[in-house]
Amino acid sequence: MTGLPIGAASIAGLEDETNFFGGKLTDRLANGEAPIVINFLEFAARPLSAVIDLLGEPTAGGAIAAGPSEIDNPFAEIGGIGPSDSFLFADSEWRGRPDDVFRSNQIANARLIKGGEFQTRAPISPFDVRRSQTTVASATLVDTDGFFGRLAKNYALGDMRATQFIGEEADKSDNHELVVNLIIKNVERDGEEARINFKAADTLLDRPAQTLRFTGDGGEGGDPQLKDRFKPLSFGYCYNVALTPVEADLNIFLSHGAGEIGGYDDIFDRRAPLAWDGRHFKTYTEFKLAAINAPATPGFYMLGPRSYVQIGQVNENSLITADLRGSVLYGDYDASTRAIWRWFVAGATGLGGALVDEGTFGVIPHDEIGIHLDGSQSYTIQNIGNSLLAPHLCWNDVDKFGRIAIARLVDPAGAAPLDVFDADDIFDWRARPLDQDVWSFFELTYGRNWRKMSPSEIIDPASPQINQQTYERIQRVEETGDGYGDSKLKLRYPQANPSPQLRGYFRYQHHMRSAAQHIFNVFSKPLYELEIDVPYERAVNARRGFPYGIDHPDINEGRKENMSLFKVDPSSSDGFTTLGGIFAGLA
Amino acid sequence: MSFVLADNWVDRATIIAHNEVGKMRAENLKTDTVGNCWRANNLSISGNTVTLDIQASEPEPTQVLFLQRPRYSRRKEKEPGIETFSATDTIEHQLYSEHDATNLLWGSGEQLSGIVKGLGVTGVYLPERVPNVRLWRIIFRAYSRSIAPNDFIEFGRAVAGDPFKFTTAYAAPLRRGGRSNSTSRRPKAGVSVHRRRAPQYRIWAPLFKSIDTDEYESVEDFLLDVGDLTQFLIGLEEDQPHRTWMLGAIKDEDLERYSYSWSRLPMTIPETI
Repeated sequence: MTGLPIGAASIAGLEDETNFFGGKLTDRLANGEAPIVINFLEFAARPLSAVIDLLGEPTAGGAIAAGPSEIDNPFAEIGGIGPSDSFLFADSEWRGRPDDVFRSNQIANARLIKGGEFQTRAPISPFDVRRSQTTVASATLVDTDGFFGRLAKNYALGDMRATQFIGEEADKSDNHELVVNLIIKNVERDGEEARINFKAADTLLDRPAQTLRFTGDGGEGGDPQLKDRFKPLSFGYCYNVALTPVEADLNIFLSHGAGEIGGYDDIFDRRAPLAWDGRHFKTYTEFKLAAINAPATPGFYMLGPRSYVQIGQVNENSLITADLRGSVLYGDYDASTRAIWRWFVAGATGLGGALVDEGTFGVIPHDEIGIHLDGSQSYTIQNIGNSLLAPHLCWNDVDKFGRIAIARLVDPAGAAPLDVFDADDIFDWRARPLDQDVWSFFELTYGRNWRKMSPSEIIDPASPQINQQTYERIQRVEETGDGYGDSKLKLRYPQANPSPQLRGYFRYQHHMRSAAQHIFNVFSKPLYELEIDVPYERAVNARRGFPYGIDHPDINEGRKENMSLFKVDPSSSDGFTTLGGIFAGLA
Repeated sequence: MSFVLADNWVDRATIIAHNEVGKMRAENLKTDTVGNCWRANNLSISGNTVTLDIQASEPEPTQVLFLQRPRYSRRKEKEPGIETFSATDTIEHQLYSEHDATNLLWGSGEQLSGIVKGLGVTGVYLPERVPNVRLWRIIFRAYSRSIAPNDFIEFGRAVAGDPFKFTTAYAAPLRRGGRSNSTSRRPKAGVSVHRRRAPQYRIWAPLFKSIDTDEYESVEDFLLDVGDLTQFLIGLEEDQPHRTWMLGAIKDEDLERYSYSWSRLPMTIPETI
């Protein structure tokens, strides 16, 4: 079966399988020899107290500082592997030579029954899968003597990093081949066996994005009614976001509760710009003292590079909003999706370079965006990632090294451009209405109305009947809240269904437009070519959906089947795949 | 004549290694798992002679001395540098009545280890039982391991003690089986074979066809001692330690007593390495 390999060829972060069994093993296998292959499972050592620091940077040998000595060391009984080393298991005996680079004089405890019992999932297109992705995995080890019971008692195995690799007897470990890096989820014991369940690194993103809360004790801690509320956070170019009143009686407001921001472009009251009175202060104490003794009249003044502002006049009808550049992420101010998401993944989470493949972040378009979290709800980092990545048809994936990598569906190769969007034609953008909450985002909604059909329904590509059932089209792209739709498209495709929503965060209209064009190009292809299903577990994971943020019955159904056909317009001249193309694809 | 040795006094002894590497301690000689071994390193610097002292806590009667090093596959051990103690390296055993190596009771002199590639076993059956051993000194001279990076030796198990001998010969010879967890597959419509090799281990299956009452009782005592998967040493020929001695544990036994003087005892003893 052939088909147009949408996306797969350019999905970043997928490793080339030709490197899967490297060097020596490949040679041996090619020569028809049957080496004694040993599978290893290594639990990376780490400080036992490391609960917050999810994973230590695994050095070459996996060695990390020793844990507390008072904790019983169960590893003496399996060859003296202590808490200062990694814990090495294998399905056969193995000893590291003295001149072994990584694991000298270590003994692999031969307890592994089933390593490599990894469920792998194919990415996106079944027609061009270069390597399946590891998503869920488990390993089974001998536990007749209750070893893992003692291990679980004395060690926090959860979130410990584990590596599977493969090698030969008597080989040095620098000849071993990495199979996959994973993270231990839990350990199940059933007497004679212990089953280690793993999770992929991107699950580490399921953690709160906001960690700073108001204490409610005045000053920077905020008024009492703010107690335990998250401090607001701003990233990138945020427009017209509502500022959080910190000390309401002094008219002190805040837009970003964690460090410096790039600056305020404008501050408004009910969208009327306020004037800066020229003052800014370096400490909150001075700043607050000024609020008491010499409040701004009538505009505002600021607290240095941080985001507190004092508004001179506020009344009961006031709505203080601001256009601002949010958190200073790296030194140079970079408000792109790419930079912000990279900061969230690699910076905010504390995940080291070994867990994040930052090179793959380059697939995210370099547009400028803004996010403002006002603190009224909690978000996980994954929530934010979904919001950031979905408009670009990007998602977080995990490569075999266990690193978080970014993948993206790309435009179908070789396809002629479909309708070209422009601002006058079908969509527009603007700030959300002021009475709504604080996110400075713009919603992009587009309609899809493809109709799913069985192969038997497709009779003849030339048949005029087909034309009656042609619904592969974007209907409209509109902004939420306005009810703005494109009458021209509606006219052309009157049977359009209610549209799914996709939220995007953009500073510029043309970035938004190119994202919409991209979505249009990709998803206007027949779904069987897109073929999201296959057993790509995270892709069909109901919790996340694929791509994140898109929720549409057609897509969801299509993902669960190996092949879904959609009737398309054979008479269309604007680049739609014809039925002839479909049959060619099936041949 | 075959013997078994279940009471290994090394497990109760204090082991003093003059050369050991970090966690590959000489104490590992007490663990059943041979792969969990003692390693002496840097022989190119310290000289290729390594001494190991095993001090018995009480005077121990001793007639069998046994050592096993970790085993790679035989094919692998034919590659240079893999075999951590070879047939041409020598071992000298000394038995003393005192911990401080005074009063030598018996000494073997420097002897070739005779270790067979792929088995890794060596041992000595003393001509006479030495009653009061307090120190077993082993002097390894690893001539084949004197050049870095292969200047290390390994041993995984040491056994010493007083063997138990059955009073009559077995009615049937011991059968030896080779086993491994290797697997092979053919494609359904093909003839090529694809193998996944795994290390071999041996299985001894002795069969007592006829034993008398005394023997029955002594065999039963032995089974009660070791029948719960306890590792013991079995030697088929006293004078051929390198090929006919092994460590094993009884997996299945089926002692049947049919009449006063006619019993049979089939059992399976897989090698534990």
